[in-house]
Amino acid sequence: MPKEFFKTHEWISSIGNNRYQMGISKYASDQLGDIVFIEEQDANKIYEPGSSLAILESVKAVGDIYSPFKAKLIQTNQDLISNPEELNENTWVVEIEATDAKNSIENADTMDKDAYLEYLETL
Amino acid sequence: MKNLAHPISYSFNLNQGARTADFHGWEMPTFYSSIIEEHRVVRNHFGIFDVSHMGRWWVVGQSAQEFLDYLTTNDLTNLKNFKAVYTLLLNEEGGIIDDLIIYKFNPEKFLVVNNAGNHKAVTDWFLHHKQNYQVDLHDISSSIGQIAVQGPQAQTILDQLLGIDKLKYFSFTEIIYAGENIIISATGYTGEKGYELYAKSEVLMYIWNKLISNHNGLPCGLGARDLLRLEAGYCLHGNDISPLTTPFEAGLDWVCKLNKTNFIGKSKCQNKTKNLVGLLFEGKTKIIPRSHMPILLKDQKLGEITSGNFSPYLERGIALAYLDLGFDVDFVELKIRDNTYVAQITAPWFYRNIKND
Repeated sequence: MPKEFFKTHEWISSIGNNRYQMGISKYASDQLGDIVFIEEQDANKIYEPGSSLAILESVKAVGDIYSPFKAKLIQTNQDLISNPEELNENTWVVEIEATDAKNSIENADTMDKDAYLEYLETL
Repeated sequence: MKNLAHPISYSFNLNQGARTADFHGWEMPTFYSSIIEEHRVVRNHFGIFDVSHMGRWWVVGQSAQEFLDYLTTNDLTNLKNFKAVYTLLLNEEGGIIDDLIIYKFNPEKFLVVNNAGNHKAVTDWFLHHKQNYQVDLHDISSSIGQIAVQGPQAQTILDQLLGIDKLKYFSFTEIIYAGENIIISATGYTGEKGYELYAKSEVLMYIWNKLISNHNGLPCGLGARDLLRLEAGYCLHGNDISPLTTPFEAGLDWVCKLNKTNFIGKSKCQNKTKNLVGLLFEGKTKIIPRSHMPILLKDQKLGEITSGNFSPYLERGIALAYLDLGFDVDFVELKIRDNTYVAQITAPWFYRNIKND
């Protein structure tokens, strides 16, 4: 599925069965610069909307991937944990499962890529 | 970005798509390619920094030396011509208004370099005190630029380009290049051997472009500069030193020449309530210490981090921090997101490669 973007610069993409992958936009990775560590959160736990699913520490700043809805963290990308410098818009960081199909991406405040790029122009 | 001043590399930065940020009113490059790559290149080869945002002054006249010796902590009277010093401008309370590099051409002519963020404070302080002295102050910040060429290959490359002899650390010289005057000093803010060049911006950008096109020079931004200076333990004004810290708290007692007759802040510069220390975190821990984080021991606050980051050289978190007086400890703790991390207390520097060959 194509990526949908949040104003907080994460993207989300459905992989079926109520599961989604999430990562960060090129804009966010440019802002963060070199990522040094990715701190993963406990898998198989339920996370409330707005809670952190992964913490990205760069030499410039720290960024989070926030849960867009109530979701279970399935896994964090272990290749990225080993090679955090590989993070870019094309790499997923976390895989989550919506706890309630009705409460998932359809109701989340997302934009398609074109709308997101337009949004970036306003920043 | 609106109303920001432009450093001399502004057009270059636009063309290169450099990531920029507002640094004390200047649109400065934070990085061109990657902070860590730029750091690596400076440690192993050489990198080029636009530091034209710094404030620059000619201080000239019959009492130029007397004026600067009274306003700053280091000793200019016993300094040889064509040598530079790191020095401090203190207020009456011994607090640090700014840290400076002062270049002595002769007792009646000095070049003074101050931090961009303190240019107004330095200007006000200079003007307030100059009335008793036969001295002329010329703010040349906009007419004369400044770049830094830093790294183990800097000397060889600049010799190839400009034909300069090796200079001893904190020495400087003047050359004529393409009909223009250039001041070249063996100074920097990276912990590496290297040079800073002062000249008209067109001359410096000509050299900048030559270094890139003919010598594989890598332009570097403030991100790498901050990482390099933190590893070297060089204080950043606004983080590690400020009008509320004294030189003796910051480990800068060596810059205060107490045998000098007098200087502003002399009677208070030794006051201290805290000590600047280094914090070295264990390798492979997922931690980047950051400024303002409290340092703790058994939940008691012992002080605060003033600068911190991941050191690519040491491959671990490092920080400069103030430890309140009265705590004689070898280790402290840092709490980040419910986890506790242990750091060893060290001298406030982690790397330097500046000795003369």
